[in-house]
Amino acid sequence: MNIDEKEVLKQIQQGDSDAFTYIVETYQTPVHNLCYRMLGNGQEAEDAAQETFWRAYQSINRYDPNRSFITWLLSIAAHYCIDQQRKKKLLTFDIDLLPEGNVPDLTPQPEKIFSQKEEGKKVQALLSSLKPIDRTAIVLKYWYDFSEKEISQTLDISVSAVKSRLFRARQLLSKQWQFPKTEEVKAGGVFHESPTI
Amino acid sequence: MNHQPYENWIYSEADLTRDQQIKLNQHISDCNKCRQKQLAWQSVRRSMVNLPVIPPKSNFVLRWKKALPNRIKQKQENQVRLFFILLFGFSFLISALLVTILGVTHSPIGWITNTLNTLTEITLLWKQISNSIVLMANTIPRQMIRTLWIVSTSIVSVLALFWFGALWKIMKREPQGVHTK
Repeated sequence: MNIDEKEVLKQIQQGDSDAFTYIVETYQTPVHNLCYRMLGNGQEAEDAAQETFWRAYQSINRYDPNRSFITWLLSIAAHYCIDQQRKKKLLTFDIDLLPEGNVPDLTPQPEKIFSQKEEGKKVQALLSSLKPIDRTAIVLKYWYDFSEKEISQTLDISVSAVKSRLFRARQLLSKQWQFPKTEEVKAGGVFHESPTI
Repeated sequence: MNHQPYENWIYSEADLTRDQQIKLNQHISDCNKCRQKQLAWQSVRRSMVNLPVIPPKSNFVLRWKKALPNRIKQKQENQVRLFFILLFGFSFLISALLVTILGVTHSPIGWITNTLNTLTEITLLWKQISNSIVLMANTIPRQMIRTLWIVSTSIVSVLALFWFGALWKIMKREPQGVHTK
């Protein structure tokens, strides 16, 4: 975190709620991206991102300045999204309603744009087949480049549990990439939990 | 063919020693199954890494600022509701405890008798107070009574007005910590 953000957080903790707007402006994209990758739906991602900032606003006085702020914020987002998915139980993935704010491809070739969009849909469908916590770990690893230690802090699980979840998630993703309509996918996956998790 | 520890090496993404890397490459070139797995995982990984970050729709911050006062208000209302629920719950528990203690330490008939005695005493006391007021009213001139009545109702009315005014102000006031521009 840079010095400006530290100052802003100090002001927020002293009661300046307007200063929190700076936090929302700075972190809206990473939070929204995580929520979208977790929930697979534009509107739900928007609601989840708004709720994340609200929860962070309420608990800002409990934030430990020695901890990375983005880790803390994404931890709030991740836990909220995991709870939402558990409530829903049956996960749906909104294939046709990608958010408007997609970063546009600079090449003018429509085939390339189409192929990227199709690949995006395929990856999102793969992610949707993972368990919520496994999905969070994968998103944090490959979109946010978090280390295993940072992922463990975000999800409040041990580092060995993170490694185990990532391993299992990679295995499942590869299998589904190779065989998109396996029995395991239809049945919602058969997961053999490690006793250490 | 034994696919371990090669499958673990493919999916764990751990840093391999030179020797392990050579063994893995050798196995991959011989084992079609493991080669397919490695290619599949590399494809998935590449696709994920190449996907763009999804930003929110425009005016996300504006929507946040707009929703904030309502969220704060809702939170305050919930806190007040919780306070009253706890207060009534606590009062109910204390009352239940008192009734239980009284029920244990006193017989029901003694309880009823004491209650009736207390009610009778209160009624007699009220009667005495009423008689005293009537006696006072008979000795004080009528104009003074009228004046006292007017003064006391005026005071009560003014106090009631202040109370309503304060309530109205509180309801109209913005939640604390929020400045609308």
